Amino acid sequence: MISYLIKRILQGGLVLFMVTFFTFTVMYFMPGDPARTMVGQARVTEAQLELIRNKWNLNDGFLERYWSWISNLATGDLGTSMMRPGQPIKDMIQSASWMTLQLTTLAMVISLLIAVPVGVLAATKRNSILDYISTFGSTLGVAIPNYWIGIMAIVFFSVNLGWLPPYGADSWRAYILPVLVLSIEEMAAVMRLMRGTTIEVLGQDYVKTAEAKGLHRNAILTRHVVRNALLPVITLIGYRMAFILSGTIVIETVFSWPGLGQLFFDAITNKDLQVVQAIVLLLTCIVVLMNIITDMMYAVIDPRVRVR
Amino acid sequence: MTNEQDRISAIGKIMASHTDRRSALKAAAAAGLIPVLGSAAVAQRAAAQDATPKTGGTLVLLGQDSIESLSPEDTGETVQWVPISNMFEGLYMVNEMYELEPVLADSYEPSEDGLTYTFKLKSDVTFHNGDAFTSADVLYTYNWIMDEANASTRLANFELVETVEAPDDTTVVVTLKEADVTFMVNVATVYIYPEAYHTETGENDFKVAPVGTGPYEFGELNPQQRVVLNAYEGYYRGRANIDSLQVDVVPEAAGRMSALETGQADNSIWGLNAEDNTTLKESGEFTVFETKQVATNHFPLNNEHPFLKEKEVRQALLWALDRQAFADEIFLGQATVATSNLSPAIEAYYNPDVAQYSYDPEKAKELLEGAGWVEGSDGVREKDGVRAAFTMMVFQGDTQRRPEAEVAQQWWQEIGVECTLEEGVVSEILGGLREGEYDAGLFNWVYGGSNGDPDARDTLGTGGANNFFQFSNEEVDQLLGDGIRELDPEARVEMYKRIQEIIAEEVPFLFLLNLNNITFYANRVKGLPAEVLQADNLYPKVYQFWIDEEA
Amino acid sequence: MSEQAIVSSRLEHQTERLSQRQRTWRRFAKHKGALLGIFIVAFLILVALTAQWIAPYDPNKTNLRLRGASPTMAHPFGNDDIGRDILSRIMFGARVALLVGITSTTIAVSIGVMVGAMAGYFGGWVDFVLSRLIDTLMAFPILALLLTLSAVLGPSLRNVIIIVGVTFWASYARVIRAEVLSLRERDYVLAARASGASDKRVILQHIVPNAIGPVIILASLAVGGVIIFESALSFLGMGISRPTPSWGTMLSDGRDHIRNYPHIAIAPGLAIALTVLAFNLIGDGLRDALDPRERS
Repeated sequence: MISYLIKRILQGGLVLFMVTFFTFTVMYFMPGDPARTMVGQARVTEAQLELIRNKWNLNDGFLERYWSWISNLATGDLGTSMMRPGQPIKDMIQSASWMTLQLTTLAMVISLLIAVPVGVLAATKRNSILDYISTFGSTLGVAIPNYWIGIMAIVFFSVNLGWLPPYGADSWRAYILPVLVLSIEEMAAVMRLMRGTTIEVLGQDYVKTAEAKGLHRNAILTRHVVRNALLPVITLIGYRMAFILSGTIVIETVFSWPGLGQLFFDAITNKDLQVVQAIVLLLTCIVVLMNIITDMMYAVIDPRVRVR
Repeated sequence: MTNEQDRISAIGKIMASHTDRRSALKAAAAAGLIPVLGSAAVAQRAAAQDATPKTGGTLVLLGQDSIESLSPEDTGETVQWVPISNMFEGLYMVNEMYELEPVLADSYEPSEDGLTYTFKLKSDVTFHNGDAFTSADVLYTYNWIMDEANASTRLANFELVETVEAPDDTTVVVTLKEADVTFMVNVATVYIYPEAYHTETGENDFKVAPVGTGPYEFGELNPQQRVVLNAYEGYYRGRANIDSLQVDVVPEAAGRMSALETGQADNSIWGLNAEDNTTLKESGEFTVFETKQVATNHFPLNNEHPFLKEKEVRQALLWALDRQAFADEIFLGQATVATSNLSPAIEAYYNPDVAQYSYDPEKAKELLEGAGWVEGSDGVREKDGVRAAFTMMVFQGDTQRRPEAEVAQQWWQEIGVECTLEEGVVSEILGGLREGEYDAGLFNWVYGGSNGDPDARDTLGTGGANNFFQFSNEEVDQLLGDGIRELDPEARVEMYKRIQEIIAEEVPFLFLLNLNNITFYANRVKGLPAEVLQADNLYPKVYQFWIDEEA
Repeated sequence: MSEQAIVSSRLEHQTERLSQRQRTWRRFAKHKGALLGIFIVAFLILVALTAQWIAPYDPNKTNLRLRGASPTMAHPFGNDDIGRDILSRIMFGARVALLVGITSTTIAVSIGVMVGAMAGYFGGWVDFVLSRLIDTLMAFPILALLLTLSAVLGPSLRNVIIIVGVTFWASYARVIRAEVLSLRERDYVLAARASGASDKRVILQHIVPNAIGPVIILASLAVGGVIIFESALSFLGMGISRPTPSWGTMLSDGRDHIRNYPHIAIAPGLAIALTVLAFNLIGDGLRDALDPRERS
């Protein structure tokens, strides 16, 4: 078990290294001159640009720069952002990920509160109206691009009705639209899965045994079915939380939400290699960790996995 | 939208009409930099006399882009310049009427040869951290910028500065390498650092914890969300009326519009859609400043490009554009068709009698045929193996101007010219055009006329720093050179009118429109001036405004 | 194993495959949603292929006088901010969506099957290296990777297809690898190897056809996802370059004028939703048909 864990951690470390190395390579070869981006519209001479490039080590070779990034990282230094040199990258990422985490967690909680019971009910009452509505709803929820729903929601609730603020993250009212819009896709995904796994569990022998024993249907549902059907859902949640950025980057743009997705987009357009690297590092860490945890859980549950 | 460009050139350029430099410079300080600007450009409002100013409240402004830094080093983006201009001051400033106005200095005295400038500083000024402002801070700031090791973005302004001295606490003497009429607007307006504090923090930390002498001091900054400034109690011209100044970052035009309409915000630093301008103007809820921009809305072209280097080609491209439709349909009449490099806002020098290019695709085709560009198999013309094709760079997210490029692309296709559109960041496109790396672009720029003077050496002169076209014309160079030495005002006007004729004939860039600059302030904001030439330059005057919650 | 045993095992395996296919098809044909999906996709493909004949207008033809014009009989979906006919752009946009969705997925599946089969079949260090590569790609936040690559390569239709193709293959590779791991110990594979068939032959003839089922399910479900990613990329201004009509770009134009001309954003949003829905329905049907465990 321990050796398996160590092996997984080593593999995770390798993945981390490859992901950051790859991002660094891509960013390094990105066309355009970060020094020029940095001075903005200001009129500067080539000599000045050269000064800026030297100051930021932009003229150094690839390996030199990569090595300095890695060795800085080893001392816990994420480097300095070219677009916001005054702000430590750590602070920048901390405040942005807090905003994103709030959004995704709230969206996840809301979608679970709705999707789990509806999924179970739809599974137990197969082919009922509720089943059809939930199946249709979840199919639709995955298909409609959520940023489009976001735009339409802004038009309707902010522009036409004036109920909710169209941007920002100041009051609780500003959270409503982005959280709800983000939860739609999660809700659809969880509902589908919950319905499917519940149906599967309902067909298992132990449920039939319990039924034969004359246990009350509600007791069976809560004691056996839901508990077992939830396992895959938990895996799904882990997976989706690990990929928070992919889900929120567009929504954050639509709602001007000061989160990680916007920060990443800003960093890419400003060619801010250090910030891009730091975000990719953080996100990959989360994914790798989530993967190890899931693997360990499976290894505990199903000893056969370890043999492989 | 374009305000940025107007503002930069307002500070970055100069009138150069007077040969007697000393008296010219003194006159400028006394009477304003430009007495020549026509009333067409002045935004006037029915000035209902505002009542007694009240204290309190928060002024909310809207920006379109994240606020990365609050150091005077980083004023390139208007959304950053606005808060910075409220926290920092220079010895002088250029105000909303393009007048030179003393700020940290009481007066200045140029020497007879124009080589030294002696400033008398105010003595009762303190920085936000309590330190007294003295000549040492000016010395420190100027030297810091001139120290190449600091790679300052403002170094170019100091090219002609030889030395800076501070004989006593309230005197600064600047010596130039050669006489420079741009000195007052370029150098004397540079924002001053507090020596002790800036030395201690270093430039990087200073960017997010700035300390200046201005009416507002730094409150909080969340780059993607907002910056908040608070009135500085010890401000030497009296505490600002409005307690807080806040800039909200709202990238979406629709979001900014909603915020203005619902009263969540008082003013948008960044422009709105033409439709929204109309809505707000008609709403009666805002004080509106509408002026004609000095900048020209245009497609800059690389005059060394294998296809675009021919004059007939550039003329044909212009004949193929229905610019009146741009003005009427895209900008809903908030623009007029441009005729050459100068805006009609520069009334005294503007020349309407130049070669005109109405919408005539047939004429365009004739010109191309005549120049030997014949249609190839794919419908795109070619000559000697060169295809009639080029790539145009559009600013990323420039939703207002991009339609011009998209429509032009179609119109040009009809005359057998292929134009590919690409998006890029502002600095990259400007830099790339300066270096001749790109074929064409789309933005607004000032080609003579900032501060009312038609000088355009750096944009139309051979090798000029902002010559985006690799344009070189002997006669234009000659005229531009003579223009800053000519004594006789009428002869001078003729020179610049001639330049417009040449530009209209040579078409180094495709001049499209002269747009209106429309700025809105919510009615609750009081203390606004009755007349404005440059609405952006009102932002440093926020400390004089006040908020009337009942309005 | 005798020669005869090999032949009979092979035969057995082939008949098994045949009857399984028939059963699968029957299950699929009974799936109403899947049929609807097939119908919609067929319709979209038809529209995409014949767009230049059936579209009422040139999709790039601008008419400034119709800036933001609301739907009329002549322009059923209205006109966009520079007066282009939205219906025509939607029709041509179907081309882009299907081209990106299907081509990218095909590229991704091809790479994924190749890598996964090699990793599973050869095992050892080949498996180790390829598995780490798969892990690496799976660990990347996809949209972040797409944005970065697009910023480097520059936005264009070709680049978007390539970028999506080379970033989406990891999950297919992982599935195929797992399938191959279990298949390679099966009798008929062992038999084929024993009879001296080359690795390439064994992989292509015996392993891939049997492992492809789950990949087809994944792929059909992924086409919808790819279309959404493309639209998001274009929406952020880093996807298909103008004036090529892409639904994502149209949506982004619509967002800029959402207050004054909301109809510009409605049609492309619905088009994306309908297309993704259709592909998901087909994917669901395939899964129910191919994977009896989840059959309802």
